[in-house]
Amino acid sequence: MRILEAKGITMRFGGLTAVNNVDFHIDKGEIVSLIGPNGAGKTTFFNAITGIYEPTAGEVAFLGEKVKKSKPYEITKMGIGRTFQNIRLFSTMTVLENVMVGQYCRTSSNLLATILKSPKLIKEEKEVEEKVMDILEFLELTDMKDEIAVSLPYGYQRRVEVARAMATEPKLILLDEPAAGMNSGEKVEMTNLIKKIRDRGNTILVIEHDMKLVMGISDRISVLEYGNKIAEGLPHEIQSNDRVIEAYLGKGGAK
Amino acid sequence: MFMEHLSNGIALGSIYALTAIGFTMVYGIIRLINFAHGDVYMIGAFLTYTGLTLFNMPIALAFLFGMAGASIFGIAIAKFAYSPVFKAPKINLFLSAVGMGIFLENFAMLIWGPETQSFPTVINNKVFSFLGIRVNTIQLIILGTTIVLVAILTYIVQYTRIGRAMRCVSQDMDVSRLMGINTNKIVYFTFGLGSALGAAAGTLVAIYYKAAYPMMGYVPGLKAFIAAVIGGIGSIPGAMLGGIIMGVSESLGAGYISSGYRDAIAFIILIIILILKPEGLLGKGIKEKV
Repeated sequence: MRILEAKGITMRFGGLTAVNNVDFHIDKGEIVSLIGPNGAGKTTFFNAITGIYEPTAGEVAFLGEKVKKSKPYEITKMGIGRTFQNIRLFSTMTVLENVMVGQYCRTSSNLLATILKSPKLIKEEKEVEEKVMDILEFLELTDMKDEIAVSLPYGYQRRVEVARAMATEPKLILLDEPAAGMNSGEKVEMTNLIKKIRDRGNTILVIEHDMKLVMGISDRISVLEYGNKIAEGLPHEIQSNDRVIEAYLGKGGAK
Repeated sequence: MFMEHLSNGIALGSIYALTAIGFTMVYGIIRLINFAHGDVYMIGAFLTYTGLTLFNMPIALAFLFGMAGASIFGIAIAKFAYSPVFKAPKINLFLSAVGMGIFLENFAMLIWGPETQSFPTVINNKVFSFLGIRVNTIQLIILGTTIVLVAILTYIVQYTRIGRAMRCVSQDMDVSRLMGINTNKIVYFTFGLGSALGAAAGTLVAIYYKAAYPMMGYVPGLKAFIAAVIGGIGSIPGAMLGGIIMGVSESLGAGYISSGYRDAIAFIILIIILILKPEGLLGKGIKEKV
């Protein structure tokens, strides 16, 4: 099943073309990576396909429906959950609370019921907690659920972010540089974790610099450079693609 | 004598605290010093006045009417005066708040007249004396109302889902949005809640002094702002602490030094605390990463 399909995405800011006529798609259960040197337009492209920006040209379909420019919380509700390049957890909250925030958009928003705690709401809260505990269990965070999230070691904070993204019940999970700032041990753990999440039936889009991680997990890789898609394919194809090597190492690197 | 000043100070402090909470909540969420907040306090007092005199409501109902009306004002202010400039530089938002304050004062003059309206006597004020402390009914009512309202607020912020969302938005609005929280709704809710508390404070003052007038919110607004800064702006317990400190020290200062120095005392405390603890008593310092 096709989760997301983008055709001919172009994104211009004034005279600057940040993304130029890029096609992209991701199917259910895939791990697709988007790579490219700094400033290649990865984040802009991501924002354009999720509706944070309105693409100058091109069309995006998410689960078969056309994506319109929408508010970030509507995008989350639509089914795209994400983590951030630099960890952004709520710093005064516990792990459990942080992850529960992810469930916010899936629950009733009736103000009065929320404050007066109607029986229906109490039941719903309980379900939320069960779902969240299930996610924590899955990511092996149960033991530290009552710790303040930002007091955990770096690798675990990432996991909490992943848990929070999963709590939004996404159809597509975006991991924005999940291995940024990690040591090699943590990177290996991250690699296994991403695979494990996929095996649970999730679809994952990774934006990443770390080649080892990308090669280890991806079903497919798309490479951007100066806003153009210069290559797309299986990891081993990308590894030996001259244009990709040139983009990363400069001319002469390909020899 | 001391006990009398103290009980008077605690009553005054409760009012500062209620007003300061509104300041601090709005600051916590959108980093705006809402200078129209003092005027929402005034609007609250006038709405209660209208409820009492025009609609002949019983005081409890009129009080709730004032709070509800002021929170609608608060939400409308956020919607029409602030949200168009949310994305502009902070100074624009600030100017919009100052302008809103001037508008509300003149609006009140238009509706209720520029002169001081005498507030109906709704509470039979008696003086009690126990353990050598002399307090009157109104002081007890002020303190009681404050405690109840603060308890409700604490419950909402700490133990409900919307409270959790409020805490999220105050920490990181972008992430909250991307995690599926409708941040606009949270902002309006915060304005509504803060304005209701401000209106409660305004009404209590109007009952205490039996008067309501269009400029009544100006000085208390400033004082409440100072109370919020003393306690650490953005922190709700801080605002309460700051309010009580201000009220008690003003009352004691007026009693033992001279009532002419009443307002100066507030600013002296502010200066001392800003020198000793610039982030406020319960505030968190902003760590800058380089």
